[in-house]
Amino acid sequence: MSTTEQSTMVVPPGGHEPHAEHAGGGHHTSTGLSNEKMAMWTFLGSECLLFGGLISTFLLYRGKEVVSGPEVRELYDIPFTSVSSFILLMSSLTMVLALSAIQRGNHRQLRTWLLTTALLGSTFVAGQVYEFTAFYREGLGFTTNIQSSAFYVLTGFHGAHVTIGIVMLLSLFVMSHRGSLPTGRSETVEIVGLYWHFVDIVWIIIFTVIYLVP
Amino acid sequence: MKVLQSRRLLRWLGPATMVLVLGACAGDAPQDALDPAGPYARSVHNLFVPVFWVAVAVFVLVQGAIVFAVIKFRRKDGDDAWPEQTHGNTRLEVGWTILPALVLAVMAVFTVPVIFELDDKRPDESILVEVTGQQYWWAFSYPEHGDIVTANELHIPAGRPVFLEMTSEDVVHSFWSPRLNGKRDVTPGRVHTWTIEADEPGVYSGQCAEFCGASHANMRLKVVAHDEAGFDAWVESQHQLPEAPTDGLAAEGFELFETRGCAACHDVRGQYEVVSETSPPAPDLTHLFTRDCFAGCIYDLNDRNEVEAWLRDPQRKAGSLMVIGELSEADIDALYAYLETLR
Amino acid sequence: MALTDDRPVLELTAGEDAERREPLGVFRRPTATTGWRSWLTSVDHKKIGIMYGATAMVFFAIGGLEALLIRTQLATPDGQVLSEQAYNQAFTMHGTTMVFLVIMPMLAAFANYLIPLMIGARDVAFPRLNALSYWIFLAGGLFLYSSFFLGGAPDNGWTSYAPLSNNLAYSPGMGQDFWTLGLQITGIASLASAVNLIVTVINMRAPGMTLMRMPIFVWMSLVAQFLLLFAIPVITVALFLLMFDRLFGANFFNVAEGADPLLWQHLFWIFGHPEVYILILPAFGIISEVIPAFARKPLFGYPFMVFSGVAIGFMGWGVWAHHMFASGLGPVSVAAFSLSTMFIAVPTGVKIFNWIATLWNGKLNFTVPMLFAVALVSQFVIGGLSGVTHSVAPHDTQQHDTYYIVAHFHYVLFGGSMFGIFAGVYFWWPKVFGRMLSETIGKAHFWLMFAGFNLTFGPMHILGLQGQPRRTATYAEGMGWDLMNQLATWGSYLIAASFLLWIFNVVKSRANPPAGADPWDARTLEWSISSPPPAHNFDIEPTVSQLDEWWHRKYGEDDHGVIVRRDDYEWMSVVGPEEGGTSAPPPESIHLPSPSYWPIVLALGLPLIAYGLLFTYWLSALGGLVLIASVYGWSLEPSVDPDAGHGHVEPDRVDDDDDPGTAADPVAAGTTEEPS
Repeated sequence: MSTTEQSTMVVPPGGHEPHAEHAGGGHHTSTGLSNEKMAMWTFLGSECLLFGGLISTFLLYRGKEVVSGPEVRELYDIPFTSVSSFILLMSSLTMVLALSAIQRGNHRQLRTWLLTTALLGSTFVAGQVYEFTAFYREGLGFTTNIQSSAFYVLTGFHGAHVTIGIVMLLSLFVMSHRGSLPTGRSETVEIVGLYWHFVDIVWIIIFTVIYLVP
Repeated sequence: MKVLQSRRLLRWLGPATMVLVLGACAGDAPQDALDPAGPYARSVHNLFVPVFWVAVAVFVLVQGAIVFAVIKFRRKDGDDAWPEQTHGNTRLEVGWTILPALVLAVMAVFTVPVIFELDDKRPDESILVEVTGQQYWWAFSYPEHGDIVTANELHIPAGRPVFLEMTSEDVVHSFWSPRLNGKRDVTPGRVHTWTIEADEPGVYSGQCAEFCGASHANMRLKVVAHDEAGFDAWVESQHQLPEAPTDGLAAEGFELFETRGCAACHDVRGQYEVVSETSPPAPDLTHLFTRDCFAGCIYDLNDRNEVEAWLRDPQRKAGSLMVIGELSEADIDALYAYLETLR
Repeated sequence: MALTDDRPVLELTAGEDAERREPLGVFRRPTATTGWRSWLTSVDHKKIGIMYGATAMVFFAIGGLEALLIRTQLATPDGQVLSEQAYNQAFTMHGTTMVFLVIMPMLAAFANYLIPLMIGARDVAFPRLNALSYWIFLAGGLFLYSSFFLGGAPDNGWTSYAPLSNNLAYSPGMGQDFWTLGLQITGIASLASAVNLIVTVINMRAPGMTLMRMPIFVWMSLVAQFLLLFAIPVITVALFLLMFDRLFGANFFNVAEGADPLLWQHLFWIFGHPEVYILILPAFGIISEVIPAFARKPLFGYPFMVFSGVAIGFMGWGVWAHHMFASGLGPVSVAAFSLSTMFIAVPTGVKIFNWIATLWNGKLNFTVPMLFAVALVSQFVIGGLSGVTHSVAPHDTQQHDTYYIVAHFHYVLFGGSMFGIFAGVYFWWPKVFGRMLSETIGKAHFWLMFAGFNLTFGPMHILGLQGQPRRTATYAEGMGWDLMNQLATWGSYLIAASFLLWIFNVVKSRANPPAGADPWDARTLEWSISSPPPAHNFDIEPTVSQLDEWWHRKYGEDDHGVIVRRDDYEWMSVVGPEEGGTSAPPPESIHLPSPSYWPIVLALGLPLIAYGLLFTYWLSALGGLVLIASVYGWSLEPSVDPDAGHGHVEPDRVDDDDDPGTAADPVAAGTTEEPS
């Protein structure tokens, strides 16, 4: 953060308290890391256990024989899921570009990349919806057997996380459009980015453990 | 006032301890885990006793230190000076980290072998019993002794290990007869094995120990240990099927047993067979009157009033699945007369 | 420190108009700071702490009534006071209430109230999120209890083992659903509160307050919050699976489809065992503050107390299967968990020894908080030792699910946590309410509770070893259990009587004279400000140079090494002469986060969604709308009301930006409002 920027700081009349980093005062928090960012890291730590529990449940039931209906692994369409996984991975890249854009103060680019990220995420979710319907048509409903329940809950949970991420990205987009996402608040984008990358990493784990490992 | 309080504390502790100790020793507790009656319960107990005394020693030392400190270091009235401000002592800390760790390590050395010793392997010379837990009663069958099925009363030979293969028809139960061994969960979808043994003939009380629904408290059992000859005689008696009564009140009851729907759930081998893929949904009644208790072993079978009360209202045991509708007193008499023939 | 936003004016691009917008929302910003309305919208950590405590005490009374019903039923063999179903509801709700609605919120009350004061902060990191946590907790608790009026309370025990709990054939009523959904709601509260308090402790400490200068209570609460952070998602997973089974026909615990009932047990206890330490560690922290204050000595071995607490936090994750020694895990697992369970006793022992060493050579003043604290040490020794006997896995198959276990965990949770909580309540009461509680009534309360507690739960050790299983509504005559059960029942009535004394003490305390800022001559920063503390906590931000900062400001050594009270120490808020203070400069105008309606509104959405799942999905949709609307309302509302009309901006360490999407509309570009 340059001194020029600091010299042009504006103060809302009792308005929002800016963060340590972009306020230029490193002494604001004990660690120098802003509260918001630390909260997101802490929350993501908790999320690890949430997905850990769901992944363990799926792994437990993957090895068991099903009483009725097909096994989940018989229905995988690996090439299709690989493509949608790749799309989700690419959205991490565009997220990084969005952050870099706002840090450079380029708000038009920021909005472009935010929208791209949201679109890539939506494509992934759409792919998941397609996958679910395809599985359902082949006789694997949510209540069909233990594997199907575990599969749908795990991937559905992940899909819900992606969806929440998309909502956050679109909110950022609207905020930026309305002018309430100044360069000084680039950390907001960074925090949403943390969440987005986390959701991507979780998908890599799910994709590897669920789809690829035999 | 303050000294008085610590005395009061001591005065409390004394009698309280006495009452507890006396309570522990006195009384006839048929389900007493501290009174093992077989080798498995004993090896578990033998592990507990030294640990218990170590715990007592630690208890006395630590509580002694607390009580001593509480009395000795009490601040006198008007004493406003500050005691020496000690912040810690690393050597002490290391000491009281390592010392308990050593004691626990010794405990571990003795515990781990017993864990493996009590493992699921079937002992030589053992007899096999299949146990099925259901809401809220136990079914026992003896696959190696021909066609023997009974409920709530487990008959075993004394002096021989009894290997139990256990599963559940509905929810998680837990088989426990404390004087013969600890407990093992009886879980649907899984077969758990467990071994019990009684040194001497006798009746050993037991109970479902995992909460299993409304009448969990009423899911009890009895283990009846016979001497070798007695057990053989019991096996023999279980092979003799009772004959269906042909006349009198009992014959009426025999009819009622079917018309009132009893036969839909209760097996009476040689007379009524329940067609069911798994075990019958209700206790096998073939030799009902060779037992002492019924309905999860909470009622005395030798007390006719109990049986009649049950026939009037099986819901007197909460959550009972038995449905029989309203019976006239004459019907009840007839049914009782029939049931009595099941020996 | 200028309150600034660094958006350079010249970087404005299209669409980024600098027009000032009013905060969106259907509500006018709440302004009340007194009266009942102020409590509904308050974001002050102290008010929230008091609300947590008061609510938990109400639930304590309710859970206690359930306990009395249980004990009355069991006073004699074949008890007829309750039906089996009613009894099962009573013990299920008793356990669930005491764990989730009494001890956890009680400890949250202490953490909320004390942590900012102890680390020298103005508030927690996210004040509105803090309010949200409380309201969600309350919503969850009320939701759970509404089951009594909507078809029957849950009755499968606080562990709700599958397949009893998931299969509609075995638990047909909605009670189990109320349990499943209610705990999910309170779980959200705990998670939000854990994130908030972790960030607060790590980020909001006063200058010089290094980690190893933090009061031990803050440390133990921090460990507990980390345990919550990682344990809550595990129970959430378990509850989700259970919910999907019951409401949507999933097969997670459906044995007929090949599911394994042990999955529930593993998930539950992976949460459940850390939960035990969540319940006890903050209580350890409380008495580690109380004992030094009344022994007039610093805590013995502070670093070891910290590390043993952290060690317990870590080891607590490796012992869960000792709840399952009878479940048929196989000998290798049993042996491993048996060993880990034994060795978790080591750091716990370290704590006990350090407390005794703190007492040793002290000048012990047996005030009521001190009595409760020493009783905790003594009773926890008993609970700890019976815990060691559980680790002997072969014998645990005798102890498991008997009254021996009931005795054990009540010695730990009642004799431990609750006694610690009462120690803390008596200790900090004058700080919170500005009046002392009566020592005389307090001592009667203590001795009655001490006697009642030991009379209730002492005999249960024997009952359990004599074979009485827990969770049984009746027992037969002739089992040898009659006397001990009778004693236990009488003991429970004594506890009830002691609770009435406590209430009497509270009611009477309103007439007591002001307590003063530092009535116990205590050691930590919260005693350096007036009682009750001002809304902004500290007039001057404290700068910390050592552990027990406040004590060291008050006391020094003279030339002979004798400890003497200084006469030049400064109170950190305005403290009148009647409180023992001199004077302090009036605070600069300090900017505090403004009250907000959104937390309570958002919290309302959750039980609506839950009721909807049970009755009609329309309600869920409504709840979802409330939720989404309040998330956006919240995000668009600045944490500090721009119209509140505070004078100078001196926003030291007040920060509330809970939501990444929070929009603080900056004012017209180019005008720098002068902050000094």
